[in-house]
Amino acid sequence: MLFICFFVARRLVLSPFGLELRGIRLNALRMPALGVPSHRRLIAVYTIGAAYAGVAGALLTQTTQFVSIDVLSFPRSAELLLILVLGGTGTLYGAMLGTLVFMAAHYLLSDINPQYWQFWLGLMLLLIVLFARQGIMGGLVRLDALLRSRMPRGKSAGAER
Amino acid sequence: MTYALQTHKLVRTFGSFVATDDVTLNVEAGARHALIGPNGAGKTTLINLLTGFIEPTAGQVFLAGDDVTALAQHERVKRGLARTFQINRLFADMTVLESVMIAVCERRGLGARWWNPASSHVEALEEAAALITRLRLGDVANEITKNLAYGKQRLIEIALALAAQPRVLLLDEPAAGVPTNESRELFDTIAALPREVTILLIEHDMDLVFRFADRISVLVSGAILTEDVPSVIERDPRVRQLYLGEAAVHSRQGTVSTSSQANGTAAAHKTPGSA
Repeated sequence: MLFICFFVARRLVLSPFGLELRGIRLNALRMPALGVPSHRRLIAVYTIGAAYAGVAGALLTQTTQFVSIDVLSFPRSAELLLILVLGGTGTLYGAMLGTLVFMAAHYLLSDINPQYWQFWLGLMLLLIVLFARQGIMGGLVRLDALLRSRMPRGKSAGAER
Repeated sequence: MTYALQTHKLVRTFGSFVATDDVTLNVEAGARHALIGPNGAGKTTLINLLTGFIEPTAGQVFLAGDDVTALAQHERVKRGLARTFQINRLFADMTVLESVMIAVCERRGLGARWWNPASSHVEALEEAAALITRLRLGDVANEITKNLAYGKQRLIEIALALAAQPRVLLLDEPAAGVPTNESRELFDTIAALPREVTILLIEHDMDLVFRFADRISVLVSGAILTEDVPSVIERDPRVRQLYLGEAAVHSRQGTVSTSSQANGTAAAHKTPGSA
């Protein structure tokens, strides 16, 4: 299911529709001047987002076999947002990476520090917001760029010796 | 005859400030029409009214004879009215090609396609590439917009407007902040546009205006002072007075349509009497 949803989302991001959505995010004021009905596009993508949330909700009830009023609670929504910020907003892989990191951190931290584990999570979020605005995904991209720019220099330095 | 672009008694007020005062403007099809006036005269406000960026307090806008006053911005673009912005409004994190592709795809009605990748729409891709080459941006097509020089970014501004294949193009100080040698090149590009495209131009550099335009309207305090061919405007004592004597007063008056940054770039230019 994750694979299907991810595949569909990936097609969407690379399509003209996805391009326009990126455009709206980068410069919402410019889009109507290019002839794009921004409002309609946003309604469309929010609908798709809601459908994804619906699938997620259905899967949740399947796995937990139990639904209480608790699933509507605020912490759940905040957790999802936290996952996105951790992984990196505006990237697909970031969301998956964020989930993995969040779940791992959740288990590890609550093991080490059962009472205050949420504090460490908060600290993580703070560090991300302060130093790596693009989240883990953005950090990886930057690291990749850094390595690539270092590579040729490293080689030439080796040749000199 | 039908004009490419007309306004009828257009008024726009901001509180008690009248930014556009009863403007009736007729732009002939194929014209190279320039709009000049001191800072704060309401030139950009007028463009914003024409494109539907802001709504008029009263009056109408006609595009090729049709009343488009009630139409939203994107609907006017569909009818062939495109603009550039005085201060760049680009997609900072996108490549040049991606930016132009947005506009091309939208015009071709592909904007809502969400399954096939944008790059699979070959004709759109070719059109975008051709447009980029035409504006001499070919060598930077895959560069990220924010990494490019300011002059190049001004060209992207124009490329985005042209991608809509407009019949009427509104250029709001296309050369603002561009070094003189580059602005010549920019205007060569604009002058090379086909005559089917009607152009309404706002520009502070009088040399460029008088070389380029075949008709000039002078806007002062929101109202049209006079309109005629360049040779007449050049000799008009009121216009001379305006640009040599009174301009300083006006530039201090109006900050509604022209931001302080714009004033700064305009002053850095060869602007007769703006400072």
